[in-house]
Amino acid sequence: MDTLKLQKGNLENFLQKLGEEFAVFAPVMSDGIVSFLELRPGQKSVLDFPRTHKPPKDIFYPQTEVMLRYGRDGLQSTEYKGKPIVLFGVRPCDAKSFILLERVFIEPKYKDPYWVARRNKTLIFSLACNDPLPSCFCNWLDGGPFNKTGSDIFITDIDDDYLFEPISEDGERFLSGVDILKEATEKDIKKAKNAKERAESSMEKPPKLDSLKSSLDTLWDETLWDEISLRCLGCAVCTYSCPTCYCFDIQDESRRGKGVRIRLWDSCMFPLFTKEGSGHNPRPLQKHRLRQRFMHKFNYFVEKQGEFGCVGCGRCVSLCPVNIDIRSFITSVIQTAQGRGDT
Amino acid sequence: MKELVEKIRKIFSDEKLELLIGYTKGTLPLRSTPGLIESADEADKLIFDFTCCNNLAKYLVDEKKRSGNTHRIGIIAKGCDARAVVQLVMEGQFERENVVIIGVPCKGVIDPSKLRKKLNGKEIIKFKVNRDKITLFGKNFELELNKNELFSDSCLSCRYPNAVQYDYFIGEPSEPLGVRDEYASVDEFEQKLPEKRWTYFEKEYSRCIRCYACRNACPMCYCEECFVDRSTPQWIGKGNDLSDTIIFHIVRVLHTAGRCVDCGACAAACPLNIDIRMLGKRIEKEVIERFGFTPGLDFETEPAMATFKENDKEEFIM
Amino acid sequence: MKTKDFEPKIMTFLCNWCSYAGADLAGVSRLQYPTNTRVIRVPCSGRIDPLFILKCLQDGYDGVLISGCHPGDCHYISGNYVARRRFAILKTALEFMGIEPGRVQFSWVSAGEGEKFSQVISKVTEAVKVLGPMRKLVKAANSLVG
Repeated sequence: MDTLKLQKGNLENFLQKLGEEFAVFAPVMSDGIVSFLELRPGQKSVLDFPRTHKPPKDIFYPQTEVMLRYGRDGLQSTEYKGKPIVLFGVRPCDAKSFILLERVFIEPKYKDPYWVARRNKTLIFSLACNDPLPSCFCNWLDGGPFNKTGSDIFITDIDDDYLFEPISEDGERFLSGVDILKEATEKDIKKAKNAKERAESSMEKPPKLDSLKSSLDTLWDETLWDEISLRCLGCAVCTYSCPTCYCFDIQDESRRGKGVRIRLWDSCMFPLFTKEGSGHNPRPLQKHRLRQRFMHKFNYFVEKQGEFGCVGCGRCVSLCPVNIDIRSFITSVIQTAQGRGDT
Repeated sequence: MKELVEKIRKIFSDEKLELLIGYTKGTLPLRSTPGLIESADEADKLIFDFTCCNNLAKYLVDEKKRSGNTHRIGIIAKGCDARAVVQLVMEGQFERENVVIIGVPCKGVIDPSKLRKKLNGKEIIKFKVNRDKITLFGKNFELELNKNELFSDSCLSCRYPNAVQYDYFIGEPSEPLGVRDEYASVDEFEQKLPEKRWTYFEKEYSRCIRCYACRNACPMCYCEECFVDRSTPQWIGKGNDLSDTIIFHIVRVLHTAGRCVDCGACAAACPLNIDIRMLGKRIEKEVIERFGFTPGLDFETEPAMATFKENDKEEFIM
Repeated sequence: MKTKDFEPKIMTFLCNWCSYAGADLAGVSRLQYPTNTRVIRVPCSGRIDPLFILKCLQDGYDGVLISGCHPGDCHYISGNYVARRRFAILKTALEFMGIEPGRVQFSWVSAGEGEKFSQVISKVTEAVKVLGPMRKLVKAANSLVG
């Protein structure tokens, strides 16, 4: 199927129409914060916003999710039974994050019913980044401003129009049924190609990360963990703003004969994360907790899933209150290992 | 910067410091990062300018937890950092003689969350300063601002830009910026109807994701276990239920009452630009009016919430 | 709900050494006062963490009363003085946020003041009745438990 296009002026119409059948989630500005919210009629999405403050993972994996309700009359399940979902305007890094998260939530043996219930009903429209930000580093991690991994339909902004390119079968099926879209001309496709080249060349050349995993294998006791962790405040800004962090806690809240079991985001940066009932904590210092975060993303995840558990969205880089930059960490790991002649 | 480095190097060896807490250059424009150096040779990494927004007193407590109370530690201190150090000493967090306060004149620091707000999602690659103006350059934009527009709200009405208590002072003391009246925004807010005030707080705190950056950036939050982390019993829910979140924020402010030095580190750390300062500022005002206490000014006055007077006002008690 | 039908639930924290005995005295003196209060006995008003008060409001109490010893009478010499500073701050915070000041009240009631105890309870109950049910800060209202 060919690439289609939509005049920018028709976008709202298009989204409105989508809203009849789907719950449409798009970047919305609310109180100065841009995040993926369900579009209400008449509400505007901000597609030109470079990177949402919050990652879109909470659509499939909310910060607080009710797993079940209970009362004197028994248990009730809380699986998603709503409309099918459209996720509109996800940036390529975030679209790729879903693929990584699915290795955890939909692995062959255990399937997370809460994730699956929403995810299986979702179409992902991702939007190319014409202007990657200086803190973006998706190109370090097999991604890029025009990377199509994880998309059903790939959108490119070409001045007056949006190009819609079907990627998955679902995407193709969807696009064939929309009459507001016109066929894109060769000129349009050329424009998109130029935008891609411009965006890619505007990013700094990435370092080679082939040796990152094996370098980390040898750096468990290295003082480099001290150097970074001494500055670390131990807050959860990095983990909660990360599109690929998925750790959670489960709690029961109840009163007066009824209650809920909730699943809530947790962070390996918190001392409580690994504190055991006995009072013993296998990761007593911030150094151990920070090491866990970095090792998980760049070592354990690679070992188990075959790729890095980071998409290079750059949120933690720009939001960390003390400017701990994961990019400098990566380069210093490689340098330290090379300096010791380990790799 | 050269003067700073030279003097620090000398202080490092004169005072036989084991650690010095200062600032080094960050990886992003207009950002610095705390720098903990262990030898005088590393002093040339140190900087001090308007990007140094973190409150370094926080690291003194961390360091004590890590290596006991015997280390001799130097700290580069703006007015607010120095006040925090004084307050921590008054609270018995470490011995006065184990910390060397090196005052530096502060002319206001940039609040990263204000910068993010101004840039509306974009990022800069460089900047240029011309007196009171600052020009920000991005990949395909340019933005000229008054420096005050980026400075932390705390700085705009700061009364103590220079360390009040110090062992060394490097540079010429600076004047308060005096851009805003200290309690103007609190007084103005108080004129609103209670319903409006509640709605405002609900709106602000509803953005909270409970990352606890505000708590962890605060030099005064040093409890071994925060009340939100307590599990026997568990006092408040840990999800992002609004009432749980609001209680966290109220109690955080109550716990820092009469101790908060209004450094603005909490607001600067918040990734979601929540107005964390408003409630704290009102409490600060109450502590001054009711108990006549301003934290962190001297090593003699007993902190307000750790003491009492028999004739404290009690108009609210039946 | 109309004010006159509304029966508020009020949590009272009473100091063991004074107000709790004051309540006892009110009882044995057969003094009448509203039955809207639930009592928690504490060793001292200084034992009250503001978090207790907030927790009560969150759990659906419409008002909270804390009652301790008169200044100078504290069994532990100064517990009530320290508490007084703490309560002043809490009160400022709640009022500033827009929570009705009548929701959280404080009194000094000695063991001999059975009469005063019954008056305080009547006054607080009346005040909270006028305010109506607590809606702000209540978890049940907007929570997952629902």
